[in-house]
Amino acid sequence: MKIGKELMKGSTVVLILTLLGRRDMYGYEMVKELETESDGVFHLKEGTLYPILHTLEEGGMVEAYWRKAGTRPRKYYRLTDRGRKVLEERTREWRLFSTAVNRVLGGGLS
Amino acid sequence: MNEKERDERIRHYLEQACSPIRDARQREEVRAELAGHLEELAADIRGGNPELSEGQAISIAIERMGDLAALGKQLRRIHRPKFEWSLALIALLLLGIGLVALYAFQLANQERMHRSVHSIAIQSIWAAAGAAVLLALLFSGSRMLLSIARPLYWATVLMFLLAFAFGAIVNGQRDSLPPPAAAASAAANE
Repeated sequence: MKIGKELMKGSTVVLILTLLGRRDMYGYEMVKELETESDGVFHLKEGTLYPILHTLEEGGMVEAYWRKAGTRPRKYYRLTDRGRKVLEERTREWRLFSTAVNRVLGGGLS
Repeated sequence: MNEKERDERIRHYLEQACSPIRDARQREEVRAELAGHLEELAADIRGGNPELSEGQAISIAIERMGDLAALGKQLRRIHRPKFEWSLALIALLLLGIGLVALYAFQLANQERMHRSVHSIAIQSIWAAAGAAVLLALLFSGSRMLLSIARPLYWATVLMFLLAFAFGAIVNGQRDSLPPPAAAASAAANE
């Protein structure tokens, strides 16, 4: 089942920050990682990923550096201290939100 | 498809994402980043289907990545060149100090400054003309000047030094624009 665009929109940033919170990554690596980890539910389009990464970079949430892998240079992103704080905040926010949604959707079940 | 053709094709495809970006350095960086993305995607496609040629794999990768025009538009917005307000403020401040000093100097030396090229009216016109040229260049978004920025800077510094060293001497004074501090103190003394 595909996730709706609107729903994806609100959670992409926190997903990207979470990935970078574990280790430095380059764009294509993030797409793959997210796809495998979510069992193919999340498919990040380039048109979504790069604007987010570049906005985070402009905002000082992540830093970028180039490193060569073989002959191919890759642009790696690293979470800054500021980015880590935002990640913590957004994670808390998401937990609260998803728990509340589940509670409502679950009805009498929970 | 040889390597050169392949690179040309990738370049052409990425153009729609890169060409909207105004900052040349950012544009090249985005191009390199997306080219890497495309190549890795193609390599993975080929890894799963070894019967494909490199060219075919690239074609499939391009198809999967799809239209990049929307990406280009967003990147253009994100990498919009920032206006250096601090620099504008400093320039304005220096200009203001210069003109005020000149005005004080003129008040104190009515006759001598009367028909001088340094009269406040003429200097104000030049200042306004300079500002107009600056704004025109700014809004034209031309990158042409960037490549000669450094020589231009040093040429300006050199011209200042030449004016101090070889400016014509009038009434025992070098006929270069007096530095603001000197003009102000001269005005205060008289």
